[in-house]
Amino acid sequence: MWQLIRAELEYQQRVLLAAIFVAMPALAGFMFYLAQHTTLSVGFIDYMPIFGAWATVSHMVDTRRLERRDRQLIVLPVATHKLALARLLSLVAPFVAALVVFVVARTFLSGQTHLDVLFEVGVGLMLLLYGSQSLLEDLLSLTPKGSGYIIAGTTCAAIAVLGAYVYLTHGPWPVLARFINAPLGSMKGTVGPACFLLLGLVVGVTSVFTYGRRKSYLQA
Amino acid sequence: MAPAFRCTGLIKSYPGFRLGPLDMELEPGVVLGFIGPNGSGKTTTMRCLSGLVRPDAGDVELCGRAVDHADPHWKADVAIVTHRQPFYENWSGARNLAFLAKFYPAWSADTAAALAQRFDLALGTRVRNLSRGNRAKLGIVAALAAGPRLLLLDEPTAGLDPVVRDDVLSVLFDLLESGDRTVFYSTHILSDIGRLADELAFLVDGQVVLRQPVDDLVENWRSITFRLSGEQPELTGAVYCERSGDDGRTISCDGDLTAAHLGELGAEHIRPTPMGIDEIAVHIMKGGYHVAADQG
Repeated sequence: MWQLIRAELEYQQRVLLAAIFVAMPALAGFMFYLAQHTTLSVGFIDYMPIFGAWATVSHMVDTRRLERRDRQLIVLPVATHKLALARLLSLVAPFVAALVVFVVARTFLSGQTHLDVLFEVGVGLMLLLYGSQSLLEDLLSLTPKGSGYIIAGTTCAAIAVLGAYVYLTHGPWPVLARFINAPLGSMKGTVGPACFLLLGLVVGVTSVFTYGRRKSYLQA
Repeated sequence: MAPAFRCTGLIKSYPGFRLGPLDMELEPGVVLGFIGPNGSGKTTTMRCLSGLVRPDAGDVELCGRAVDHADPHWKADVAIVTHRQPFYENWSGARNLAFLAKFYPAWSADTAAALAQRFDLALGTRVRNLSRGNRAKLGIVAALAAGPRLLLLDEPTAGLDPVVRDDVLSVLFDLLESGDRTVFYSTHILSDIGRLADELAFLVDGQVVLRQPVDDLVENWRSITFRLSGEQPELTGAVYCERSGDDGRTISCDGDLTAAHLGELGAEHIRPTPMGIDEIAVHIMKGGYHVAADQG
């Protein structure tokens, strides 16, 4: 299993290194600039590294689909739960690395860090998104087709979230607006992020075991 | 010794198509050509056998082990080659082979190197830059280097131009002829497998309509011309008949039986002629064998 993870990370290393060690510190710098020179809500932009980290692994997900990695690897004498776990961990590892690099850069720039909350919310969201998609593929054979699906989907989701954010923070729900505008740091000590991570873990781990129940591994 | 593969009651349905129920097995050391027109279910059968697709019903065993993804040991004994073999596209052929080598206990780097040389395949080239022909060659090298007990070849040369196809096949056949291999080769082009196969199985509309050793087919099938007055009788063993006045011609899956029947009917100038395997296959795939079986 570790050979599969290592192979996937080595295969993507140039993109991953650029995304983790160039793009994420740049994002930290950009957020520092925003905080210094604009009056943007701190709460919303605190979530930007999660989008950044997701974009980092989106490329991996897309490449896997384009190159029909499931079809390629399913013929190897490796159990399906190990294939699925390797697939999941090869995404979680760079995702977490991207978040860690971001937090280090952000701490260096502004001394502000919420690694625990960011980690819980970010990894929880990532596992929830990817695990849900895997469950749909495994159990209902709903396979997205075409390149750029994940990136396009993520972009649409980000725009939708932004739209919802603008609407909600300017709409008639001040309590909701206060919650959304709350910085990540204000979630410290609450059970929300931990519950989110737990939910993501449940979905992610479930997808490891549903992988072997697929009707097809063709990815035609 | 367990059969190389055995499937029992295998069924797989797609909208507008149903494969099976299929009951087949293949003894070790046999090369079985799986012949059928496009859309007859050859590829679906291959996919079910190799675990790429889950059958709707039925059991599949490979080399004595059930096809079960949770217990993947059977996969080390089987290799499948298709015309769209997936690889790590940005890695070289050599890098891809090195990756695969980690998973197969019987992997032979020497075999891989020798095959690549035989195919004149540049292993240092990135897979995405390989031509279709060279991709096909790489797929075959990867499959054979894994040392499988059963080799599943699903139209590995589909889409190649005739020159490259001939190039790939001639090397592949030399390799297969020289070793004691168990091969299940699916194709709709009989000339791809005719010279190599010990047996042929014909798949039409998701059903195996005939499976026979190649020698038996060649020995039994005959094109028979004759002269017979009166109505066209139903001839034993005939799969096709044509008449022009008293002159007739029939294709028979049992030449001796049909000729004897014609003799009993008083036919004259009975001349059985041996048939080529291509001609036999065309008649079977056109559905002629169904007719013969129904008449029998």
